[in-house]
This record gives sequence, C-alpha cells and structure tokens, in this order.
Amino acid sequence: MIKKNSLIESIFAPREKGASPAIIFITSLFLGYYLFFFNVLLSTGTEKISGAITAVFFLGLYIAMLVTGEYSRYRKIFLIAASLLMVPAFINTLIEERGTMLVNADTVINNENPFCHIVFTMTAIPLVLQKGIIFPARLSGHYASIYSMLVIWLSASLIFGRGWCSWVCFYGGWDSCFSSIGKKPALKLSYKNNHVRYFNFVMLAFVTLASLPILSAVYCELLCPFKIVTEFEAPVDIFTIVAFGFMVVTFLTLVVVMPFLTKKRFQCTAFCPFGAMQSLINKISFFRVRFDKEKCTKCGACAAVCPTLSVSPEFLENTKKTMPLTCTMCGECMNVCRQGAITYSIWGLPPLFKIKETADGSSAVLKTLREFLIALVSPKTLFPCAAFLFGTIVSGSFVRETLELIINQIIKLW
Amino acid sequence: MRKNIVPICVSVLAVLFVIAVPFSFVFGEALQGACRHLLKLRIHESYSGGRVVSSFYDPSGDDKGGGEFTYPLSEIFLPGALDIIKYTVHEPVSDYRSGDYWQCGIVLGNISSDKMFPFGCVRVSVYVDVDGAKSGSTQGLAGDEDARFDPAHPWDFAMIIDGFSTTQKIYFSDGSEPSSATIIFLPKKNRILARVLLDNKRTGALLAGTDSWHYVFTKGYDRLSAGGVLPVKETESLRSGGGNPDGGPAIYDYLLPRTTAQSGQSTPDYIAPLHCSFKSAAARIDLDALETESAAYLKKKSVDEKDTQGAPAPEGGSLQQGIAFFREGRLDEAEKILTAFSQTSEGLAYLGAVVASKGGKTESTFEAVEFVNEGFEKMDKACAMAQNDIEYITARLCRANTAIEIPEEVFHKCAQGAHDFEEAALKLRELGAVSDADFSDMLVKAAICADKAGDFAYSESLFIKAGSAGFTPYGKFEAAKRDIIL
Repeated sequence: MIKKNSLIESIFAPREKGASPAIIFITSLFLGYYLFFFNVLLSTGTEKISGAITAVFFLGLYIAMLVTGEYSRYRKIFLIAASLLMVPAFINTLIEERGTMLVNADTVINNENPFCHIVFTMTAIPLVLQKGIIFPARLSGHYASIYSMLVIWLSASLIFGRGWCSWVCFYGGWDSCFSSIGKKPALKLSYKNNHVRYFNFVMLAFVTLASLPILSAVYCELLCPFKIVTEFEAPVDIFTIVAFGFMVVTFLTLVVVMPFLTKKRFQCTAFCPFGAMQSLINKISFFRVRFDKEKCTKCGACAAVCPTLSVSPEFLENTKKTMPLTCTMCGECMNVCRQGAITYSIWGLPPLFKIKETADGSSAVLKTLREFLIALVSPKTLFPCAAFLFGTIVSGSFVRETLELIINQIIKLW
Repeated sequence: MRKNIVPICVSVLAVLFVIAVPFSFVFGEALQGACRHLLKLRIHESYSGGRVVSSFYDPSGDDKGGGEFTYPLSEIFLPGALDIIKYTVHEPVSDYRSGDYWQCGIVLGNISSDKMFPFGCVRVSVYVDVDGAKSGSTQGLAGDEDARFDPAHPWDFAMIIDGFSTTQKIYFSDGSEPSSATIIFLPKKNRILARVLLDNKRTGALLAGTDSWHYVFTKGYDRLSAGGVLPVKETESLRSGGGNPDGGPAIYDYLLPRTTAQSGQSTPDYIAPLHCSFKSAAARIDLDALETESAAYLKKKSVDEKDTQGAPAPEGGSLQQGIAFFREGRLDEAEKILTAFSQTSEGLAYLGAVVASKGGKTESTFEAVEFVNEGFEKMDKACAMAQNDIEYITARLCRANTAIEIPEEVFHKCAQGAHDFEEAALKLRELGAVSDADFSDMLVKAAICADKAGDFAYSESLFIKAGSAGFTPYGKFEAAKRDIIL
C-alpha cells in the first residue's frame, strides 16, 4: 500500500520546481500531437524530414522547460532559434514569389507585400476613417495576408496580450539573441532608467498619428529596423536612400549594439510600437502575471533581471496584483524569485486555487490526485503550454523550410 | 462545491483556450472567411492606384489591325507584344508623395522580353475626352495622324506610352503646356500603368466629372522612324510590319466597345471610344442586392436539381444508389456501396468524394486530414483511369467540388480544382451537354478556386470567360465582389 502511494505520488504529486511526470506526459502528448500534425502530417516529400526535426526540437525544448521548471531559459532558446531560422525561409519565399527580396513597384501595385503584425498599429485609425488599409498587402490567400495576420493577432491578444513579445515575435528573438551574448552589461540600464520604456508609447502615438495624414505606414517605410532581415526598397532615390540608411542605423544600434551592451531587450522595450499596443491590450488578455505582495521580500532580484525594465522597487511597494503593462510574460522574474511571489495567473481564477477537502477527509491517493488535477489546470501549466504551442505553430513552417534548405544544400554538396 | 464553481468554470475555460490554440490555425481559413464577411476590408486606393471604375477586355490574338497585319521579323517583337488584353480605368486618388493622380492600366499580350530595352516595341496611345463635344480635337498627335476620332467625343488630353521611359508627357488639345504622367512597367504581369497628375484644369476635370471617353490603340514603336511609329507595309521586314498593302493606319490593335468589330476599323469614319463613368464602382454596384439575388438563384437551382433527379434510386446497391446516398449526406452507406464500384473511374471518383467528405464530419483533426488525403488519392486515380468523356467529366467534377469546399490553407487543392472545373465545363460544352447558365457557373467556380489558390490573373481570365457566356446572378455577385466589372 505504501509502495503504491509512493508510486502515485511520484507520478502525480506537484513539485516545487518543474512539473510532475504526469503533467509532463499529458501536456507533452498534447503539444507533440499538434507539433507533428502541423510539421509532419501536413508536409509532403522531403519536408517531412525537416518537419520531424522541427517537431522533435520544439518538443524537446518544451519537455526540458517542464522538467527543469526554467521556463524562461528554454523559451529564450526557442525564440532566438525561431527568429534566426525564420530569415532564410522568409527571404527564400520572397525570391520564389517575385524574384527578389527587394520591394518593387510590382509588389506594391499588386498588393503583394507580406503583412507584418507591427503594421496593425498604423492601420487601425485610417481604416476607420478612410475605409482602407494603408499597406499594400494581400487581403487573403497567403500566410502573410491581412486576414491571416488578423486572426493570429486576435487569438494571441485574447490569450496572452504582450506575451506575444516573448513567446511569438520573430523580431523579438533578435533582441533576445544579442542581449544574451556575454554576462555583464557594459552599459548599466536598470529600473532607475525604466522611463525608457515609455518611449515605446511615444513611438506608438507618433507612428499612428504620422501615418494618418500621409496614408502610409510610416514605421514600415522609414523606421523599422527589421526590414534588413526581411524586405526593403532598393535605395535608388533620396527618399529610399534615407530610409535605407535609417534602417541600417536602427538595426545596428537598437537591435545589436544596445541589447549587447545593456543585456536588455532594448528595441522591444524602447522602440517597438506593437509592443506598446499589446501592453494596452494586456488588460483584456486571458493569461496574466500575478504579483503576490505578501510573499515579496523586496530583494529586487526580479527588477534586476527584467529584460524590459518593467519591474521597479516602486512597483514592488505598491498594492497592485498584476505586473506592469509592459510585462512581456517572459518568466525571467519567476526564475529568480525564491519566494514564488510572481506566477502566471488566469483572469478570474483566484491564486492558490484549491478544491477544499470534504468533511470526512480523503485518502492520500485522492488528495494527490486532486492536487494533480489542480496543477494540471493551473496557469503554471496551461500558460506555457498555450504560449509555446502558439509560438511553435507560427514559426514552425519557417524553421521547417530553413532546415529543408540546409538539408538540400548538404545533399547537393555531397 | 458551490464555492468552487467559479474557479472550476474558469479552469475549464482556460483548458478550452489552450485547446483552441491549434484549432484557430487549423480552421484559420474559416475564421478568415468570417472576418472577411464582417469587415469587408480593402486596400487603400493610393497603393493600388484607385478603385477600378471600369475594366475593358479585348480578345487576344486580334493584333492584326483592320485585316492581316503581321509583326516585323525582328525578334524584339514577341508574339502578343502589341495585343491589348485589358484596359482598366481607376478612380482618381490622393498620394502624399506625388499628389492627386488618375491611373489607367493596360495589359498587353507580352511585354516581358528583355531584348526590348532600350528601344521597346510597343507604342500605346491613350486619348481621353472629359467633356463630350464641348471642346477637344479630332486630330491625333504626331505619329497618330492616321487615327480618326469621333467628332462627338473629341479628345481633351492624350499621352503616348512608348519605349520604356518612366515619364511621359500629357498633351492637351488646346495646345497648352504639357503635363506629365508616371509610367510603371510590370513585365511579369505584362502590365503598364500610367499615372496622370491631376494638377491641370483639363486633367483635374477627371476629379469633378462623372463621364469620360477613352481611345486606346497600339502601334509598333521604332525610335528611329518618323513619329517613333513602326511602319506597316505590304510585306514585313526587320524594321517594318507587313499585311498593309492599302497603306491604312499603322494601328495593330484597337480597344473598342463590345458591339464594334475591329475588322471595320481599317477604314472607319472614326474609332469608337470607350465610355467610362467615374461614379464609384461601389455606388454603381449594389453588392448586397447582388448577394441576395445570388442566394435566391442558388436555392432555386438546388431545388430544380432535386426535382430533376426525380424518384429515389433503385434499391440493390447500385452505383446510382451510392451516388444518391452521397448527395443526401448518408456517407457511410454511400461508402459501403461505392466500394464495390471502385474498379471503375466513376465509382472511384465518387468514393473518393465520399471519403474526403467524411473529413468534414469527424471531430479529430488528424482523422480529417487523413480522410481528405485518402479521398484525393482516390479521385486522382479516378481521373487517371477515365476512359471516356463521361468518366473524365465525372472524375474532374468530383475532385473540383471537393477542392472548393476544403480549407485551402491546409490542403492546397484549389489550383487543381480550378483547372478541373474549367476542363469539365469545356468538355461538357463540346458535347453540347450543358446550358449556358451551368457552363458559366462552372467557370465561376473555377475562378473562385483560382482566387483561393492566389492565382488572381487566372481567376480573372476565368471570370471573363464566364461573363462571355453570360453571368448568372451567382457569377455576377462573385465577379463584382472581386472588382471584375464587365
């Protein structure tokens, strides 16, 4: 009897760090099913091999995440890998479709530019006033069409708001990549400088208002640093030369140098208007990050590691239960908080949700199973599952295609 | 338990959210369709060059002037280079970079030869009348002296697009200072766009006016010849076209109103202009009314088809019974019967359609994909096995009708579906076994498939074909939705 109880406990009982084997098994099965569905089953021919590699890689990261309890570490690996591997596939697709990665008159007039999530910030108000999208993209029939991105964005916003920046964004991974190189920051940027993150909102206001009178997506035409890894206009006249120069400067400064020096996600924190928009949408997202003031000892470890400067001692002093608007739900603070004061939460679900024991008491087995069920539907389990699945589905096809390009090149060389 | 109701409900909702994540991608197309239906988004005109007001289509292969013109022997002149396929007139737009402009687009049979630079070989003339007989000229510009214009519609401004210059002059009939137009060449789509700045009173009249009349014709371009016009003589040579023994106008192709034959244009009194109204396309076409009409038409068609099918199929597990069960949605029974006929192309085609349809009924996405893939394997085999016209048509229609129903983003079957619909329709027409309405509807379905597959040029050409046979309310609505206005 004792052995059986120990076995059941070892499989089902929740753990302090990491998830129980039962939860790992169930959620991995669920995630693995869909990873193989999207990456292998829907692929044909040699794509199945790269799809299988992709699915195994993602599944491995997820299991490591659950076993170690270090959500942030493996999330970062996923985000960086997805962002870097997205570029060859994306450029290859552009070359296949139109012969070049450059934007030309053809793509603009035929409305064939890929629609990126950042464009949403500039298109909403003109859409209401002018009844038209001020960006020359396909409306449908393509993965980067407007309706396709709209569905993806709406789903992500309802599920995790600004969590997009840490779990999905294929641009944010670049920031993460350069900020992860080396350990010590050469330029100290801490919570004392956290007013920097308000510039995000200034950018949002600026691009939204500037785009309206000229009926053109200002951020995309002039300011976006990530055009350098996706598509841009050939620098042939003064306007495009200035835009090209600005693109190079912003990429090098905001995406490479500043994250490398500060070890913070500088571009995401200070420049990206989409991040600011998602911060505002955090209010309606289903999953949140909860801060338990009673458990907090104000050690400041969370403030030190926060990559977006969202946490500050002032915040730790106040009485709010959810993290600041600019929190990207990356989980870095949860990693370092020894008191467990910061956790993922679900809107409407009280913390430490427990089903009360019945009056006549329950056996140890029943108690373990009850706790297992609670742990299974807890935000700590559900959020990483939902967010990781979302991110892998969005980036899976890019990773798969890049791997296929690599495999084909290797085969050609042999 | 009562105290735990809210947390339990929220937890269940949370689990549903997690499960909904992959489903939102699998059924993304359906969600997109719902968004499309609700939002009806469109791209701002400043990018596309303005909403299409009118599209004028010209038959391909009629680039023979008034008779039997031939191209020069030079390899620069590719077949179709002087053949007008389509001319679009757009609403005027505002653009912050260039200012207000009006765009017209010309699609030719072929402009993609890189050997054409720097001389080019097409010379497109566009003459526009904005005020009827009030003012204008009936004399063509230099090089177009042989063109005759309708005295009731003398042109007010004109441009000649020649060579590959990206700027052309806009000339005014009253001799005032020329304005300018930006020319954009889109070789991959065989398309030339001309954007006329509306900074002059005459061109600005386009913003205020509601009607205009357009003359569009092509000549060969030769930079070294008089007026830049390629001469067309009795016999072709390297630097001249042939087939013009009478010395008529050196015009290879005219874009004319549908009722006017080109053959009469070699010695016309004047070239018939195209009338275009600048009232917004949306105002002229009531999409909601068309949609209602289309829905009513499809409902009646479905009822008529059921009446035509008549009495229930005979018992005894016949092929007809299997097909009847399929049409009634009794898939398991249909599958049982049709399996016995899987050695024939017709039986296998319907069996494939039944199996694929089961994908729409199952709750497991894994199973759904398997069913659809299996169904298509059978239908592909049925198409290959077809030995006569009936089998050919049946197999292709089964495959096409399934392709149009399943999510394109997942299965990518619509490109094949478009060809299947078109081939089946053409075959049925060849046999005289289809009415004009059904022929047109089949081509419309082909066009919808092509549209879903992202091949918009093919889709448009199918809509044109369907329109030539006469749109039904269904076809009219589907075409109008896509700005295809015939």
